[in-house]
Amino acid sequence: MSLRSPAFEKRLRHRVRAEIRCSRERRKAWRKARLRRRLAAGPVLWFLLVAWCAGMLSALDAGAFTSEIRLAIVALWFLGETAMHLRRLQSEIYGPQALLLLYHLPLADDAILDVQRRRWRWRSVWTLGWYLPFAFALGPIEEWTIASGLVSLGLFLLQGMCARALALHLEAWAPRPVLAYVPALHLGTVGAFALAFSLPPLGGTLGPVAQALTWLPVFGWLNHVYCYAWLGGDPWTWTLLLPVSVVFWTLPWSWRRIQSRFQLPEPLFAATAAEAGWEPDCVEEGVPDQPAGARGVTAIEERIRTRSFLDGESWWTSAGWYERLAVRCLDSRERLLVEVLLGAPPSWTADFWKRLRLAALGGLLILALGQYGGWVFAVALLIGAPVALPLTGGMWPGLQAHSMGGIAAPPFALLPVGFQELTRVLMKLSGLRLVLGFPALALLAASIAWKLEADPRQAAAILMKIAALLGACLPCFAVFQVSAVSNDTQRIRWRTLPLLLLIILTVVGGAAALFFAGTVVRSLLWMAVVAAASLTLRWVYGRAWARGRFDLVSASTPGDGSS
Amino acid sequence: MRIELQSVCKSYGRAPALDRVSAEIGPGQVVAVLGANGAGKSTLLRCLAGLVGVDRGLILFDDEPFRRDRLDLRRRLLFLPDFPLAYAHHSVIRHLGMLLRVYEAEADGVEQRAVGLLREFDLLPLAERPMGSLSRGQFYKASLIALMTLDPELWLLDEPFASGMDPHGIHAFRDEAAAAARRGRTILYTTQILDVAERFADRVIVLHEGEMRAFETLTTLREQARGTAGPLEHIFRELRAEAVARNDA
Repeated sequence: MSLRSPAFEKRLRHRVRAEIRCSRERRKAWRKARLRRRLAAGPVLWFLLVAWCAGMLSALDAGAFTSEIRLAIVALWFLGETAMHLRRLQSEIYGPQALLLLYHLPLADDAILDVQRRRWRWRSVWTLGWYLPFAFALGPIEEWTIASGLVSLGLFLLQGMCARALALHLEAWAPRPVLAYVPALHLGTVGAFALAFSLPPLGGTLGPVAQALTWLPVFGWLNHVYCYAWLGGDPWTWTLLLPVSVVFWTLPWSWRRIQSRFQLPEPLFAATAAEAGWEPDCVEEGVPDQPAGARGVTAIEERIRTRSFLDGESWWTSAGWYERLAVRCLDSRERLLVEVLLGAPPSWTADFWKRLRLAALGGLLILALGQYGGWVFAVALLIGAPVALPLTGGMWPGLQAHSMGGIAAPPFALLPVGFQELTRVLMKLSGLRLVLGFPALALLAASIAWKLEADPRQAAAILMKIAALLGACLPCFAVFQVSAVSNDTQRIRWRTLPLLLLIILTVVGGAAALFFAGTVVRSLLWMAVVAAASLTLRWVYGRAWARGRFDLVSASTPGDGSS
Repeated sequence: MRIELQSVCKSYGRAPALDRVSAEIGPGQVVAVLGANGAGKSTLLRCLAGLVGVDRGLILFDDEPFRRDRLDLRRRLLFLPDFPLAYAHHSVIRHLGMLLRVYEAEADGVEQRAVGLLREFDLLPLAERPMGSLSRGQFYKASLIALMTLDPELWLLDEPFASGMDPHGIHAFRDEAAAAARRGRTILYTTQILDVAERFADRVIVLHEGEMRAFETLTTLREQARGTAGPLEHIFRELRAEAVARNDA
C-alpha cells in the first residue's frame, strides 16, 4: 500500500498552478511563500566521506597483499553499511516519530508496516548514489578505463544492495538480544575500517587476516568473483554468485517473518504508571475514612505547601564527586541554569569514568600498535581527543530546539535567561571538564608522541598546547552551542561578516600558530591571541543577541504556523 | 505594564510577517490579536517576548526599550506558545518550581496560590505526574497554571482558546485573566474565535498580511459596524472581500 498518489498530486498541482497563474497577486504571494530547496549537509558530507575513502582505497599500496587488503577494507565498509541499514530499518519500523501520523489513520498494522518498508526501501535505494566515487576505487587493480570504472561501480552497487538485503534478513531472523549489539557492530566496523588504513606496513603479518576478511558474508564473495572470475578467468569462482542470489531470492520469506512479528507499540498515554516510568499519586497512610482520590490530593497539597518543589539543592545532594565539584564552581543562579539546561540530575561522575576508561583503552591500543601506521592516526587522535572527551560542552537538552507550532526553539529562549550567564555556565563547566580530563588527555598525548616517535618533552608540549587551545577556545565553543539553536547565519549582516571572518581566521590561524610555536613565550602569546579572539566573538555575539539581530529559533517558515 | 510598539517590522526571509505595526497598550487591558492564518499574530507575540528579533522599529515597556539582555523586563512577562515547552519527565510541580525559580518569584504564599490554581483547574490529582503523560489540554493547563502562579505583568498567550482545554478550564482561565487585568496585568492573546474576542477583550488588534488594520476598543468597532451581524465579523468580511478582489485582479 502506498500513501502517495502521484497522479492525483500531479493533477492537483497542475490545477493549483493554473489558478496561481491567473492572478498577479497570487503569483506574488506564491513566490513569497515558496521555500527554497537547500542541499542538506548530511548527504553532502556522506558523499565527501565516501569520496575520501574511495581515494584512500585507490591509493593504497601494501605490497604483495594490496588486493587482499583493499578487498578486506571494502568488506569492512559493507559490514558497517549492513549495521547502519539494520539500525535504519529498525528505527523506520518501530520509530515512534515516523509512526505518529500513521497511528491516527484508519490503517491496519500490515498496511502501516508496508508503508514503513517502502520508506526504508526508497531511502536505501537513494543512498546507493553515494557509491559513485567507488567507480574509481578499484581502478588500480586493473586499468583506468571507463569500462573498468563501470564494472567497479556495478560491483559496489551490488554489494550495497546485498548489505541492505542482509540487514532485512538479520532483522527477521537474528535473535533480539543479538540485535541489541548492532550499534556496537556498527561502531566496531567503522573503527576497524579506520584502522585498516594504517595496516599496509603490517601486510606481511596481517595478510592472512585480510584474506580471511575478504570472505566476509556476501560482500567478500562478490569481490572474489570480481578478482578471480572476472579478472583472473577462474570459471569455478562464478559459482559464488549462487549463494549471493539466494540472499535476494529469500527476501520475501524474511519480510513475511517481520510482518508476522510486527506489533504497533502502545502510545504513552495508554501505558501503565510502571511502564511510563512515573510514580502514581501517593496515598497517605492512616487516613482510611477519606475516598482514595481525596487522600492522594491531600498528600500532594501538603507536599506543595512544604515548598520543597522550590528547593533546588535536593537536585545535587545525591550527586557524585564531579557534580559536587561543579556545584562549588557555580553560584545559585548558575546552578539553576544547569537545572534548566539539563532537565534531569547530571550523571557527570559516571560519564567521566566511562570516558576516561575509553580514552585509556584507546591510548593503550595505540601504544600497543607501536610505530606502525601513518599520519592518519595522529590526525584522527588530534580531532578525536576533544570530541571523544567531554571537554567542550556535553549534552544539554535545554539547548536543543523543540517543535513549538511551526518553529523549533530551545526551552531557554522562553525564559528570562541572559546570554552572558548562559555562556558563563557553559564555559565554567567546560573548563572544569578540561581540567579533570587532563589525565586522559595526557595519555592520548603520550600515545601520539609515541606514534610520531617524539620524546616525552614533545609529548608534554603537545599536551599543554591541546589543553591551552581548548581552554582559549571555550568562549567560542559556548557561542557555537547557543548559535546552533538560532537562525543567526540566515540573518547575518554584510557589514558584520568581515568582522566575524576576521575573528574566526584569527582563532584558526592563532590555533595553528600555537600548535607549531617553538618556544613557551610564543605559545603563550598565541594562546593569548586565540583567547582574545574567542572572547571577542563572545562579545560580538552577545551584542547581536541583546539587540535581537537574530531569532532564537532554528527554523521559521512563514505560512506553516509561524504567523 | 505599558507597551508601545513603534513601527515594528519583522520578516522571515523575503516574506514580511509584520509591517510597521504601531500600538500603545496600557496596563490592565485585555487585548485580542486577530487575523487570518499567516497574518502575523504569533510573530507579534514572539517579538514582544524577545523570542524573535524585530528588523526595524522599537518595542517599549514602560517607556524603556525592550532588548533581549534586559532580564529585568523579561522577568515581567511570560509567553505561552500554542504548544508550550516543558521537559516531558518533569512533574507538573517540578515544572512549576523551576519556572518560579528562574523568574525569581518564590515569595511566601506562592505555594498557596499554586495549590488554589491546581484545584481550580482540576489538575491537583495530576500534579505529580510527568508533563509528558498529560493530554494536550492538561499540558496547556499545567503551563497556564505556571503562568498564573507567576503572575507576571504581561501575559502573552498564543491561541489559549484552541489549546485543548475543557470548557471548565477555559472558563477558569477567563475568570483568572479578568481578575489579573483588574490587578493591572496586561494580557495579549491571539485567537481565531471572533465570539470569544468580542466578549473577552478591551481592545482588538486586527492584523492582515503583517499590517495592522485595526486597533480599536470593541465599543468603537461596534459603532463602526452598526447594523451588521458582529463588529469583528464585519471587518473580516471586508478583509476577505479585499483579498478575493485582489486575487481576481
